[in-house]
Amino acid sequence: MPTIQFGDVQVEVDEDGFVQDPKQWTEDLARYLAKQEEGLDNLTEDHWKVIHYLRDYYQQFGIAPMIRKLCKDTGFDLKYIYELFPSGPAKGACKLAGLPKPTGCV
Amino acid sequence: MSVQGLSPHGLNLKQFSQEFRAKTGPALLSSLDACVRCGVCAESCHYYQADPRPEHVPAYRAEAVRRILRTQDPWTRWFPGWFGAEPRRGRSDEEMLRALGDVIFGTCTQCRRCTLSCPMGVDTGTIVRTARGVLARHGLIPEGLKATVDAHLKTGNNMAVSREDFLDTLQWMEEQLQSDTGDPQARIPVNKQGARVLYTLNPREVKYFPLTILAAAKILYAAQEDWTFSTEAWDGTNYGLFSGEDDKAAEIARRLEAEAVRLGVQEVVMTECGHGYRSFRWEGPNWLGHPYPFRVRSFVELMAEYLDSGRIKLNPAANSLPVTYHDPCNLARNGGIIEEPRFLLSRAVREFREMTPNGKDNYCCGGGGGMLAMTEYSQRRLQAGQAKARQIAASGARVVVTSCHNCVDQLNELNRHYQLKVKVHNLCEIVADALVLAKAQRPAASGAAAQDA
Amino acid sequence: MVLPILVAAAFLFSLTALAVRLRPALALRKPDFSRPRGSAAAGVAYAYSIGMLPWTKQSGREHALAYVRGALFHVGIFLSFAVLALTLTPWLAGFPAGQRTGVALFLAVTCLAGLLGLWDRFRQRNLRALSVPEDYTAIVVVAAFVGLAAAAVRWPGLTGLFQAWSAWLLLYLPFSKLRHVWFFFFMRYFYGSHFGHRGVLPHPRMLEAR
Ligand code: SF4
Ligand code: SF4
Repeated sequence: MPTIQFGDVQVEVDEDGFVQDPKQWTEDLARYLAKQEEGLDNLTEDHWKVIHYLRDYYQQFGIAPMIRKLCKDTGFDLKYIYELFPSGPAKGACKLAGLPKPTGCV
Repeated sequence: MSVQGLSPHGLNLKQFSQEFRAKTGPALLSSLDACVRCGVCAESCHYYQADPRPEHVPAYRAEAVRRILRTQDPWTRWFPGWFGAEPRRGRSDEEMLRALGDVIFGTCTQCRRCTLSCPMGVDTGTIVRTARGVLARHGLIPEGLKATVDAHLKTGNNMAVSREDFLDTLQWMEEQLQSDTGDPQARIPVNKQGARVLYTLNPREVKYFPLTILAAAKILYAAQEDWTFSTEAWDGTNYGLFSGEDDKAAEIARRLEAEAVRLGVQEVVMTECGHGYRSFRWEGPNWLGHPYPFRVRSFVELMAEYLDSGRIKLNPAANSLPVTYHDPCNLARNGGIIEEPRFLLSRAVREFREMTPNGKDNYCCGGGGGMLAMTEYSQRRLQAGQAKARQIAASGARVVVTSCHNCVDQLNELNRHYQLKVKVHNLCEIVADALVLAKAQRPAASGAAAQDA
Repeated sequence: MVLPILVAAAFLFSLTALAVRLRPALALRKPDFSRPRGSAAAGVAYAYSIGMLPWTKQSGREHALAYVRGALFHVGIFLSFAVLALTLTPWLAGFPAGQRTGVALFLAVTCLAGLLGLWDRFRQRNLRALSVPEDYTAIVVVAAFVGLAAAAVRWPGLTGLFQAWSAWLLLYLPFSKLRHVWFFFFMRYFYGSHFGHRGVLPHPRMLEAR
């Protein structure tokens, strides 16, 4: 199992870079992943809005929300979400938010 | 490395061999016994293209299975070393099988490119799949693959999308369809008894990428098709193809078959999902042991028929960047769908460039065989995609079109990893963007074009 | 008289052994229930004809030399079986000496082509990794068979030795990779009918027939 090291914290990730234990997630980790995985130098307020929404939803329901819900509840339209996270909602946004990798073809 | 996962029963070599033999019909037996280890299949495998070492010669995977079988083969087990049985090297049976698992789950996408290259026609992909099935039955299966099959069986789709969420998303896309076509009567029909076509989806469309649903709906609308979704069986994928578990694969196919029969449709049309198409169109009837009372086609074939018969019209000006097409292994090499996408693209884009090789000889993108669901092999998967990345770069195209959601995901990763600077789209998005709608309804930009903007 | 009977018996044993190996698999034979897109028959015809030409396949293009070498060896093997059949009749001696020398020389060349295969197996990294010990012995057994056929054609006095070796070859065959002599033909059939049924071979068509 690969680990990533930033500062003095060690976090276990899978080979796709998804954080293994959602409890290890911090905002610093999200910033770090944004740079490493998405090539984003800084996260805007809108990025954070999506990330926090995803985390809250996951904590409540134990699963990542549909893109439909994400758009509705954040008020962002679909294309804007794709722009915010170039790797897409699953491999981009969910990964930054520390959610596990979804099943299926992603 | 070896496969993780629990083995509650503790599988041994004898049992593995017995269960494998119980699935060995004459075609599979021929694949086992016809190989002469001549090694000329080497270059046909994308793993070998990316990293030319002996372990990446196709026959090596098949041999990994054969070597285990030879330990039990009554014909040769008296001189096991001589005839090439797997040496024990101090390992337990289960350790040997876990090592086998790493080879067959982690280094073969079952694309069958090597089969077309082999002078015999040895079907290494099927040897690999059969062996996966035996290991999976005993719990020796990568976690992500297992979870995907289980989610499908438990929730009716492989991403555990609820019925409400499904309907909510369809409604959302229906509103979009109405605004794009300017027709408030435009519909995305659900559970329509007696519709001509039952259309299926890949759950990733519903969960994360719904614009392909919109694109398909737009094309079906333009062709004035009598079609429907079903809330009971809308997932066209079948990860049983990858786990090798025939019973689970059959159950997944059976549910879709039953729903198509219940709705009384004339044909089931598979979304642009390569393995889903292959599973339901070609393997399903054989898993179930009977033919379907309806027809099954890929959406690619249906779109080509619409265009051929004049039911849809396309304007290539909508797609002006140079485009290449990636043949999904499961559509082209495993289903003969080769001319249709080219026919569509010849009318939907300004400039089309072939990759070399293409069609039935196209290289796998590296994402097949369920690789996307098995994170433990992600690095290998990216590396194995090198052959495809080179093909794309050499084509000089700016847009890569394909007819498989799974390929789209892998191609997007290759795009980033190898810095190809291309856009990746499903064929239906490109076709939808080029649609010329009858009456004066001009579609607003959507799908591919909008994402490019 | 003993040797010809031995050869015939070994041949029968070989066939029986094959049948025994095939039987459990044949019991699992099922028709293909999926609707055809192409023609299985056309696929089979293709698999046995054009589909065997080396330039129709990547393997043939990239390993042209190995292909030619292998093909030559196999022509020699089949010719040797023809010679074997002839030695069981009185006709072989009837051929003029010049013709017999010519055939013997050709067989010797094919035998050499076979032995070069052995050389490849020792030399190439991929082949070394793939090979099991039996791969080496199988070539030796068969190359000797072809070599002895050459000798028997040229020097009829060696016919007995050739027949004895042939009997041994036929007895050994079912246990060895050599059984691909049968399975090759089955494999081509299954390969052709499978991809023919799916419309991949001989060549794809634009739209599936209704
Ligand atoms: S699979 Fe075919 S090409 Fe590859 S080693 Fe075996 S016989 Fe040769
Ligand atoms: S089926 Fe594809 S991935 Fe598997 S060995 Fe053959 S060419 Fe390689």
